[in-house]
Amino acid sequence: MSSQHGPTIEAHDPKTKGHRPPGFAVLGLTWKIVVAVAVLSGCQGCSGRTGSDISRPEADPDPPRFQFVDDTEASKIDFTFRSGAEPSYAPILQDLGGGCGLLDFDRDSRLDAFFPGGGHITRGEEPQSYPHGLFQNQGAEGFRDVSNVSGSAESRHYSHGVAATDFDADGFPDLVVTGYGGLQLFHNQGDGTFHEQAQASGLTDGQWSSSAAWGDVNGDGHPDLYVCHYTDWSLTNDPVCQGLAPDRPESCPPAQFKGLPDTLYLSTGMGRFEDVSGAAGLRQDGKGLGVVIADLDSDGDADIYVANDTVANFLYRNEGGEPGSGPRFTEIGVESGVALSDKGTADGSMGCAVLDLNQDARPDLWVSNFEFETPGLYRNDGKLRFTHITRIAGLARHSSSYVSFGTVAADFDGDGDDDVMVANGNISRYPRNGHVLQPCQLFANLGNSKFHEVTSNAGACLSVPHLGRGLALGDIDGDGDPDVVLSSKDERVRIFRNNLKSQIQWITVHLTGIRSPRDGCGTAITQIRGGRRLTSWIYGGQSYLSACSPEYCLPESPTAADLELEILWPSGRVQRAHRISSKDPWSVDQGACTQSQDRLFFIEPWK
Amino acid sequence: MAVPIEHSHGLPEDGKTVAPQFEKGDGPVERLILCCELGGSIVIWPTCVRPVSAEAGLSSRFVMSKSQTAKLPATVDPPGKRSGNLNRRPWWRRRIVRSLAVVGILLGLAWAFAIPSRLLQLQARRQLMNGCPHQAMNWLKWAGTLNGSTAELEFLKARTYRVQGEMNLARQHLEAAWRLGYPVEQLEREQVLAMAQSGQLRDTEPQLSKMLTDSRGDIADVCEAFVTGYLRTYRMRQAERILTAWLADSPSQPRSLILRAKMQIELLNWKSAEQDLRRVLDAVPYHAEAADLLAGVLLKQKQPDAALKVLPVAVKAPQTRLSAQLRQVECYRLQGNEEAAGQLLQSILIEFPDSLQAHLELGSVESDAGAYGPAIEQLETARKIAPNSPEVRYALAIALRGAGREAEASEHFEYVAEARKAVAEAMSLRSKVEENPNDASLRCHIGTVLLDHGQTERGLVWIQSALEINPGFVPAHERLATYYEGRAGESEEFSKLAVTHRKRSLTP
Repeated sequence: MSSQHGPTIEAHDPKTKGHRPPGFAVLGLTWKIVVAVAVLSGCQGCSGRTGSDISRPEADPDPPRFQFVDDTEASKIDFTFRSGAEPSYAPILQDLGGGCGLLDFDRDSRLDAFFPGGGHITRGEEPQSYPHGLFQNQGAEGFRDVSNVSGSAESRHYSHGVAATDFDADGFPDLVVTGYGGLQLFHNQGDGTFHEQAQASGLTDGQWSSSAAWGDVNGDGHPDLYVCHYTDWSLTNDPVCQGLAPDRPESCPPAQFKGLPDTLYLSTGMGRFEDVSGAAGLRQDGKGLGVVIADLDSDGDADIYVANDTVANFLYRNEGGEPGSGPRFTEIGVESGVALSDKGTADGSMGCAVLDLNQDARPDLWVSNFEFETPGLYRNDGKLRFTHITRIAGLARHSSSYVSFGTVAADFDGDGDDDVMVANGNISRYPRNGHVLQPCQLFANLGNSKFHEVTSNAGACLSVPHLGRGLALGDIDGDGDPDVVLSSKDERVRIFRNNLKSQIQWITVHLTGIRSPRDGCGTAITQIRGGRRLTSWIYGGQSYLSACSPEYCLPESPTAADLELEILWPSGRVQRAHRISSKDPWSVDQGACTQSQDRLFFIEPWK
Repeated sequence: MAVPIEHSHGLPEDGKTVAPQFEKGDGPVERLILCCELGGSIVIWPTCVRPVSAEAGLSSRFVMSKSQTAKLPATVDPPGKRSGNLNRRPWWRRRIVRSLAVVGILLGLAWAFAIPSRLLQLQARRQLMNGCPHQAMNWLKWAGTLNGSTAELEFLKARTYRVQGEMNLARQHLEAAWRLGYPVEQLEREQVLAMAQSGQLRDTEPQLSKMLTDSRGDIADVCEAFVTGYLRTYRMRQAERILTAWLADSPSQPRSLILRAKMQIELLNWKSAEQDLRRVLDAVPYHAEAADLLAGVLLKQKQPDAALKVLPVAVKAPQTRLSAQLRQVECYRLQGNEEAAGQLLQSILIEFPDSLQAHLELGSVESDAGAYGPAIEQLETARKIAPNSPEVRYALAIALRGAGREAEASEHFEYVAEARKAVAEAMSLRSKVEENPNDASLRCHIGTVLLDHGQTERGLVWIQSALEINPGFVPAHERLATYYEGRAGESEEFSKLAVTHRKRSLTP
């Protein structure tokens, strides 16, 4: 290399240990570069969440109190979301993956599981669909595949996500399935079968939908539906993006596509829906992947938060609206401080969850983001003003190279605060930085608005890498504590059973709305003990493409006494339940409250 | 064996030129105090030592300061002890004296042929090869101090400044090299490299093949200049091809590894960049730029502990000190140690009071701590430095909102929302640029949006790339004219550029 010989790093490259005269080196390089230049010149050219116990242990930076076990084999659930990926074709459609849903479709008090099937796509051809899976929980005998007999297997589109609620208040939860080409609404007929009636019900959305959330946005007691739409990818807008090598195609990044506007369907209460997106003031852009519907400003109506990929997230403040005119929303994401990162840049947001990180009875927000971004932890300071506290919470250093999708917040260890679990998995087939398969992450709330990752101490199953996408929360095994289901791309779903070894007794709280939505979506539950109040919410959405159980897991120490529950229904009604000690029965001031073993049933009072 | 040695301590007090005068002694070593005037300009050699030869008498006129002469130490040895007494000394003393005389002769000869200067220049070349232009410049300054300005030295300085991106200084030294008789062809070649490096590839690219074929010993410089130019203009494929060929020949050269790391950083390939930078640091542990870049890459991967370990090297070097210290701040903040971050930022601002990033970060730290008043103060300062930066405006809005100044905050929030949306839309057009790489209008549009929303450097590159395709593209000249007119007061260069682009925008 001419006369200018700097120090070289021979140790790393034994082939170059000075056997070639410099002149040859120059000549060799010259010709290579000349050839390269010549070539160049030619080429130029409504889910539930857990509550908490007030008494809590001292914060331990790495507490070994979490314990999850992989219960997939015992559960007998054998289902795989198939993205239909081909080695030579990588459309962005295949990146999203699929979610999972936990619901008690047969009302036997055991959570059943639903999984969208995905699909297949060949360049230039319409995407094909794969059947969905519905698995009935039979307790100790595991799950039984009832997809076909229930009529819920039929898939009309390349599917992604699921949202569950009892939209017609008949007592049986129904399902909406999102995907490319349209929605499916599976009406639960109460006899173990479903009937698909999206078109008949007015869910005529034909765009590429990802997550959906149920929530009563106009306070009429009927769950409305918010549907996130992703990008304008289509067969005619299907660019080829180069990967690391010509034989290693990668999907094009979302920044190369235009975002699609989301849709808000208002329930008429007669089993039909009306698209009120324009009248409600929804924006015409966005690349929505995650959504929650919750009363974020505690003013009695449901607000909407949308996690968008590569563009600013949305926060729709519910303005109420005139009677008979439908709801009105104002998008205030940026000024609320929940649209961007702490640097004022848009993250690649995927999933989101609501939690009370500091027990101030204000719903805070958690957002899962793309690799090398930090998760978004937004502390609610009241009046829809949020502060990005990821760094202060000690979470910034844990993000690393994981591409985060599904995320759920729950008190997994029963210590009185919300912990967070995240499903990770790369979108790149040949990642330049991280790995394709990535493990889940579990962040323990240390109780002082700080979190600490405890994945490695929470059971070996969590450290097993997957192409994680959907994550759903619910008490699958009926022991009262929250378990999770992980849906990965092109991998068998996994059941992670919470195997907490502690003296905590768990009670599952089940709500039945009368004037409010049937599953109690939008309800705030406050524990009052010793003058302290801890609030949790049953809200719509959560996670990514997934539906969590609308039940509430209440941890209770056997020695704890004098516990009061205050239930604020979306209708504005307040119900109080009280018991002296864990051995005493519950008394309720109005409405109904019944207890069966470790399950507590509340029915919304009429007055 | 009398070898007169010249020592220069400065100009004579009376400033008069006098004939060379030798202070003669009996011993083998003579002392001289000389000032040397070369090429019509006085060059001061504070400690120069070189043999006085016939050449000195012919080509140089020597002056001697009377005052300096008066202050001279008498001689190496007392004259009375040396004169005429050599034969009476013991043999070993005579041998020592002779040895000293030989050493003196050798040193003198070395000086006569400017060998120390050449050695220093060689060291500078090595540093350039290592990708350490700042260290190279230090060596060159020493060389200049020892032997004065030469054409070769000026040329090397020009090259070093070019590599540092100091194009004005590079030009000045090229002119100096030309005045001192450096080959014009070589100077023109350097000029081409300067243009290529700054991204003006339209005119220089056709010469790339020729320059590589006729490398003249500077093939690494050619590669580096063009790769840098391609990286500046986001022509990654072209950059990669040259780098691939270069690295195939010299797989372990720090200079090429640094460049490849920079390319990988642009492509967001953190792991690859990290590998290259670690290899550079294994070979050249004091490589400040590599340490700074590596810390940046580690921070991208959210590894503050690892970044803190490599940063001290970069903190010590003046050229990377500010950047490295700001990275330390980022490390502390990722670790959740806001107090340490705040303290370091305070000290940074004492040393670098105009640092935008330091003001921004300190404002953010104060804001996170709820000290909205001090936060607003810092962020307003940052805003004065970079009025269009969405990052600054966002942090300011958050602080204003915290202070209850909602209306003011709202204005900044709106700006940020608009800026982010506009930039996102502009960046979504990159795929169209790949489809139509010669669409100057599209490139100019992207550049304008970026420039208008605080991404100055990127915006200028995009607009410049439009002019690369169409040198007479009026909208690009208009936008550049407006930009440089706004900064004309900052430097003469900006003022000239403003005039140039305005003229081109009016006369396409």
